[in-house]
Amino acid sequence: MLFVGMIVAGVAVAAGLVIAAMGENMLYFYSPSQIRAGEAPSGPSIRVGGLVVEGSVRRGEGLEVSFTLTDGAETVDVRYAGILPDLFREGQGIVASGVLEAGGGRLRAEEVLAKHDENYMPPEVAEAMEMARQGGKMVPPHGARQ
Amino acid sequence: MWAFLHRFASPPHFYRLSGRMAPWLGWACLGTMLGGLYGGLVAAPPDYQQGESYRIIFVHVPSAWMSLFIYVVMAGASAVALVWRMKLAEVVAVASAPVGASFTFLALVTGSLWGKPMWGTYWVWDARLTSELILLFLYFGVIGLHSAIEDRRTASRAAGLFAIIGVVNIPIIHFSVEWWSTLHQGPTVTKLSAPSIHLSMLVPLLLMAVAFKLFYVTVLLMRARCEVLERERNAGWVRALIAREGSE
Amino acid sequence: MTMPEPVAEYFRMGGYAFYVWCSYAVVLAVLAFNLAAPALRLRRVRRDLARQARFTEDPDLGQDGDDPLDADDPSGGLADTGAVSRAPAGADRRDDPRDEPPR
Repeated sequence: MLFVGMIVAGVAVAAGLVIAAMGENMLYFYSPSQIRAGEAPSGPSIRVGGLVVEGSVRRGEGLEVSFTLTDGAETVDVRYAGILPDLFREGQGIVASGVLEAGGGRLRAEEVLAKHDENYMPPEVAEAMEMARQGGKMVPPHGARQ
Repeated sequence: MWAFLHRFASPPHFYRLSGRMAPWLGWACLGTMLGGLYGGLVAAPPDYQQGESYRIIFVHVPSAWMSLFIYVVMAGASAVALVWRMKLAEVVAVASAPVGASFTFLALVTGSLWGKPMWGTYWVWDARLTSELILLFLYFGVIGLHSAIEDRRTASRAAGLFAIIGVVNIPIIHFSVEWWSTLHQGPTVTKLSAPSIHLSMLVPLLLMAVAFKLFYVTVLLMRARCEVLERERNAGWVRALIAREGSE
Repeated sequence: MTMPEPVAEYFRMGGYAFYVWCSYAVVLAVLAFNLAAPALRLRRVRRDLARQARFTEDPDLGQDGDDPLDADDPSGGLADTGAVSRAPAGADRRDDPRDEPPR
């Protein structure tokens, strides 16, 4: 019976720890609008999620890279030195974690993760949809759901 | 209908019938799985964004579906066992836990192997991944409770209660990608509008899902047979069965 | 050991070979384990029950059930393994007439 109690307690503790970890991260990332509105805590490391603005990616020396994230309303500049995930590209949904620099408009990222969408299709179909979009028809944008 | 259920639920009949059904289900599973593997690994075109790496979807998503499905079956069987004192329901619940834990483990590992090249990390503590990990712990809890308590009936009842309480985690897992901002993307197939996956990829995905479901039923029957035999070891039909085997 | 180029290209999986094939290998291994575990357990349970039956005098078994078992006795402990090895690995999963309930 003691053994049973220990197992139940062990599972409870494990679940509790995980839930505590999840509580911190329940909101996995903030949007640029929330950053601009000052909703994100300053100081500790935070995560910002958004789409990489087309044409904003600048490669510096070595692995240095800077780009701008947008959620459609506001933007946040990100600077990062490190290996980017394979899915990183302009227009792609990205979650960057790091520290906000003073002023709050720029994130010094320690990690950049790509967030892909829930659409799966062959390249030809994607091209056809892109053509249709440019022809004036609306298709859902690729990238992160905000 | 009720009479049939009763007959099926009687241990000797279950043992005989499941022994007859398991191989058929196993072959059906193998056939579907080979079809799904061919469709997913050979026939399906690469993804427009993720290239070839997305092929992990054909094992990752069905595993994740099974991890939830089996948990619901297990909790349902536990509830039936608690309310109607049905022995076979107890057996189904016990036999489901290891299979469910296996699929949860597979969903986590394949997801991790998919996340590294695409997201850039093996693991993040977002709501979807964390709640799926909790599901694995819930399965471990059920299995642990079962093996820790000597008396089988008591063990089944304790583990069943634990499983039923853990059901709250199931909707959390499913809706985590909608309730919270997660790195994990939203549902592709199980949303209300049309699935946002091309037909050439959807077909092997569904084939694999069917194959995994058949696999679960096959293994469930095999495990349940062991369980029935052990529980009924002193019953007349088991003794006769063993005796007939020994005399051959 | 050189593969034709298209085949090698296929196995490279566009550079994601490690992740894709690892995923499928893990799935295959876990599924195989899930099949083997209950099959082996069923064999063990049956063997244990057969051994138990040999040591307990059971009136239910009747004369026809007891005699062949006794005939096996001169072989000593080997009688058990003999009884098991007579059932091939696949026998557990196949429907054989032995599975029928009594009467």
